[in-house]
Amino acid sequence: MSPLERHYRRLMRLLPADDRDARGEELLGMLLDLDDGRSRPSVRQGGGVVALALRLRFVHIGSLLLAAVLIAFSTGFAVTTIDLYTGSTTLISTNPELVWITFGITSLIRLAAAIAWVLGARAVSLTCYASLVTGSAAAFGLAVVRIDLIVLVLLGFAVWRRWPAPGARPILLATCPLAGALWWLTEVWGRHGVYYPEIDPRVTWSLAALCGAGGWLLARRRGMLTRATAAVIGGLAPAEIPPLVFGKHTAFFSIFVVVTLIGVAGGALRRRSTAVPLGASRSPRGTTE
Amino acid sequence: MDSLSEQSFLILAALADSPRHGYGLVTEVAAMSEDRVRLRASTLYAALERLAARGLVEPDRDEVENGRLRRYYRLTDAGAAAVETETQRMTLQVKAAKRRLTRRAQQLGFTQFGFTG
Repeated sequence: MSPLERHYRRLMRLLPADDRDARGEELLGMLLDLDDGRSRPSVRQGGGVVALALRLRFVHIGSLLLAAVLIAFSTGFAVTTIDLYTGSTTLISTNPELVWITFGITSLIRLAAAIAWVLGARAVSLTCYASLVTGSAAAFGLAVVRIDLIVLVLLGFAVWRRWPAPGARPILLATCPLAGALWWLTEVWGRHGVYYPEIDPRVTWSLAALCGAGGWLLARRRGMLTRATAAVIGGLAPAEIPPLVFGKHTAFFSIFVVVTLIGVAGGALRRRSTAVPLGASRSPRGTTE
Repeated sequence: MDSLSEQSFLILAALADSPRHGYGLVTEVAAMSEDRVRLRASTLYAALERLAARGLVEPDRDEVENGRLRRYYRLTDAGAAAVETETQRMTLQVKAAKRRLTRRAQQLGFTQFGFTG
């Protein structure tokens, strides 16, 4: 390997892994051709690689943040609906059934939009939110849908700029904490809702260790191990961890489970839909549209 | 159809007569623009991805030369139509601009303005 190639390969580690895997060798070939005869990258070409990396990562980060916003709001409204149905939140209304139905339908639409976005169906996500905003604005006025309107604008911008749907691992590693932070900011933290069941810690530790070992043995690809690990963390972590980490807000852990499972399912389905035969070229943007 | 940037137009035009790889595209675009447009590898990389997403170009074949991967791209029918449309649009604009410049020369009383078109 020439010194120039070695330098460029190091520089190209700044690019997102997806792009490097799909077209890294092609870019490297271009860089070596254009800087032929040099021992180090030229400022022009090297600077271009850095700028490209920043641009690609910014798009990925933007897409992740948007996924986190969608997950946070959709799960937040879903829990609000559960609160109303279970009576955890007192509802004062002359027509409580209408309120429950309205919250239920709008929560389902928001969840559908979030799941569609995670799965890469951007147009479906945009259509869901557009329908939600239009219907809610017509029924209750624009003031009621101002947050949904902001989300709709963000979705429209992302679709226009062709932001890619995040892969499974970024969703699991980034959107769950981000969604948790957004939950905190939107003051939904600590609501009653789906409770994590009480399980003997020895049982959960044993199950977690078994699943972790099983996942490690079965995983042939990094993606499978990630999904197996995520399933263990999301579904079978010991019962002591949520109270230690979240204190009295243990209920949030259940939402973490839901979001993790959404990410796992999204990643598995997206991998299946974007799988290409060996030797065929593929775009790094594995979206389904 | 969305309009093309100058870079995109030159890349598509460079592919009009035959498939080319990245380095070939950079040198061809420089030649077509009399060295005014010199593409960086990263710029071309991003441009090819955008153009492929719009269906205007597609990968033709991969070759390995001196241990370097060279991916050849070819113009699609949609890409050829886009180049044709853009060429016609620019031709109309150039003709309109020339007419106005000729009128300006006449108004200013210059008899020699150097335009032959």
